[in-house]
Amino acid sequence: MPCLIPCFYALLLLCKFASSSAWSWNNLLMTSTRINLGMAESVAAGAELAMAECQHQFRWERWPCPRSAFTKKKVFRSLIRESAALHSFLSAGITYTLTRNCSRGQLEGCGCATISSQHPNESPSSSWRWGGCSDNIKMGEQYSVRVLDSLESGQDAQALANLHNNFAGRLAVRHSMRQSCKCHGVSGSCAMQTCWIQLPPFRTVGQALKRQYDTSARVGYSNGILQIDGSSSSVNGAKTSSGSSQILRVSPQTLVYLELSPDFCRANITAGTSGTRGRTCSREKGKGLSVSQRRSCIHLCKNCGHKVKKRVVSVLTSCNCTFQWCCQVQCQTCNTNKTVYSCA
Amino acid sequence: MSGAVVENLSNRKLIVLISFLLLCLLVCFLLGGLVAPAPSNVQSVLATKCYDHGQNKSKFFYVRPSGGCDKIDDLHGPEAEERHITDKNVVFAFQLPIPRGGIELDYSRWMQNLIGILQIDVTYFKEWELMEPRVPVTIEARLGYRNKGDPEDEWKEYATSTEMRTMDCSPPERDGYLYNCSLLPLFELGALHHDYYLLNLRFPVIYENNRGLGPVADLWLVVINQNGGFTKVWLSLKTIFFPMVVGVMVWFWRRVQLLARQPTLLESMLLALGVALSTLNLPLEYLTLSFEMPFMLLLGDMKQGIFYSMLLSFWLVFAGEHLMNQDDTERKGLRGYWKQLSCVGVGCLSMFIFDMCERGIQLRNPFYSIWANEIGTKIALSFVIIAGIAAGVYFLFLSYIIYRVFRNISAKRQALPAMASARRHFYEGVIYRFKFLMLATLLCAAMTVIGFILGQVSEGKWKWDEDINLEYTSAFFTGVYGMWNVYILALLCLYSPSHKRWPSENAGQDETNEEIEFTPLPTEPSELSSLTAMIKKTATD
Repeated sequence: MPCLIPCFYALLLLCKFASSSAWSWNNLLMTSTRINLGMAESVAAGAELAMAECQHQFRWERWPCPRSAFTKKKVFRSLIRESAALHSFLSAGITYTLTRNCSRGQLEGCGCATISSQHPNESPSSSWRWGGCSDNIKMGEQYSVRVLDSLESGQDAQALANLHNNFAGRLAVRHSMRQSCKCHGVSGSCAMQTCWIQLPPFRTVGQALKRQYDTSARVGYSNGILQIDGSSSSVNGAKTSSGSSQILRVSPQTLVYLELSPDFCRANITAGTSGTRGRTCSREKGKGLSVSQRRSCIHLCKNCGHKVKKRVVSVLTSCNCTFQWCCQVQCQTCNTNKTVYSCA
Repeated sequence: MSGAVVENLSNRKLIVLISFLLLCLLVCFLLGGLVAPAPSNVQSVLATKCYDHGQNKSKFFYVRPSGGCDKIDDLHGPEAEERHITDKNVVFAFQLPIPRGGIELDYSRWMQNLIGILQIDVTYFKEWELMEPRVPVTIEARLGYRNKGDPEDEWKEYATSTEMRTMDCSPPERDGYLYNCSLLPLFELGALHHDYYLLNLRFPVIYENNRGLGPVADLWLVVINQNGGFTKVWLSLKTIFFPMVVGVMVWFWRRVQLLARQPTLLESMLLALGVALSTLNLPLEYLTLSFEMPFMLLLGDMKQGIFYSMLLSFWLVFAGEHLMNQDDTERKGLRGYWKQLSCVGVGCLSMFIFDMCERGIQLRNPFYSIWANEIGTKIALSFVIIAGIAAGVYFLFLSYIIYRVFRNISAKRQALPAMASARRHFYEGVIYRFKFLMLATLLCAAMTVIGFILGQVSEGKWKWDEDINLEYTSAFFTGVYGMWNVYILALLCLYSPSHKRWPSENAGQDETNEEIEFTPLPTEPSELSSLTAMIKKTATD
């Protein structure tokens, strides 16, 4: 059952793309007992964030991470690289949004997982009084596990791989967080020091996930564990955060897939992609550009057998913006000639 | 003649005592590691942006329950343009602590203190003007409080202030990312007396203030409070150690008083050290449970300062009194050490002034920080540097004295076999006492330093592994605290005058001039302190 999640989100997103298939309703009912309405809103917002970021990160790829990939029931027949990316983006988006909303203090149901969970049955207020509450990221992760990992009920290769990719998504959020410390010992010295981690903008997480997609690994399934294809070295089984199933340790960050991707150069109706013909590519030069952007014209057009068409269009853009605190942005409108490259 | 307890104690008794003290130490360490939670807890709170209609200046904007704040989602979107939002309309509200599990949590008085750090997230847009690397920020801060049972919208003012801070920022590489900006320390509360706190921040534009601020995406307030459980464990340690140390101190002083002579300088120093430790141990924190005492942070610093200066002075005097040199015998009390002790004095005094400048002023204005402006930073730094220099000079002095003691010891060692038994006993006693304390002190100091470094290393890396239940930082604090207590307990026990008689009372075989020297002995029964007489004698030798 490939890509159950998209359907689930379709339902969450106010049933906009509701599918009537029985299993998805069951799934929603199953999950709705675990999360309350505020949480569901945050989860939906997280999915929305993941979608937007995925589109941004994949704008120079043959598969452009279309919106339909998140909302359609059956996007890919089996688990390919792109669905691995989908899973990780969703999981990261939900973790991120819930963490953030917990920090805002307006989300009900953000629990108080104590750092040393010696007394799991304690009420939040008593554990708060004794040892404080854990960092908000833990809440975000817990909900991401609850919402996404519970959808993978099977013990087959696909379920294991999906769990792994979900985990990789959550990990990307953690690893993108920045750590800061404050000294507050005697006279403000560093005899006592407290550190915490701070959420980065989601763009940073998206970039990390894109890198993980670029270095993803194909795996095979045997004896209940996943193994990297082509290498005989068996991968250690390790518990996932949900603690239910075995999952490989390629490296926790690496995304895994089971099948090779179809040719996204051509239009693919089931995958919801229309091929690369007509896509714009970039020949921009300079610092801070990603490899995929610099190679985009070759990758999108030439390698797919298209020609690169150059057009000069005049566009109106806002430029020379000045900002005045708090909220006034004054921009000039510039009419610039922009060279646009596209595949034809 | 007799010496200190440590010389005359049988090995068995010594081992029993030391293992008992080590056991105390182990208990302290495990108490911190297994029972106590981490010393402090962090909450990152995201600001709620509220729209101020400008009707009531004294109004507080609160987040929960809803109704206290007309929310703004985005400061730089179409919404802001529609509502014509200006700096006068925007209030950033933080309501502390943030709720968990659907329950509105509250601060407990066991949590002792609260530190707030502000982080301003500024987005970098390629098309927009670049922000200056050093941005002066003016913050209008108001802190309010509320207690359980008060009406939910009734916030009382705790403190208010307009603060200047400087934020250092560097732009990121790519569009849409955040500037790398420094954190701004915002407030420090020495007493966490109330249940809920509410912080309202404004960034007003007055003349050129705040004009350099870029597009602020979000404001984070990181609040650090001491954990209630840690305070409880810490306070129980204090409650146990306080009567223990006081008891041993009384025992020690009574033993000294029983002697027919005046207390020696070293004995007085030991007593003073015990007193300093007892002030540190005094569990004053119990009072904070019913009274608001914002000066506790300052008081804690002062108590620690007194203890450490006492400890440093003690080491100095101890090493000095064991010099066994003729010119040092002329010393009369503390005055002989004025040069070295003034180092300790200068260091402690400058730290005290520095502390008063920061935490003293914070008693009146919790938002005050001496590091916020240039002159303050310079003054603060100069005091810290003076203290550092004083500490350096002190350690040079101390090392020099210790070096001289060791030189004398090796000189005396060679002469020992040729000495009469009483004199030999005397010198052996001095050497033994000195070496014993050196060993114990070095051990304690090394353990503190190693523990501290380990703590820094483990704290520096964020712990992802949650299976380890040992709370290292707490264990370090309780362990070190217990260690210095045990150290001073041991000193008080082992360096109190012994009432045992000198074993070689039958000094019949001794040379005649030695016998003459010791003729007053029987009239002065128990006496460590013919020490000076003894040294004088060696000087005449």
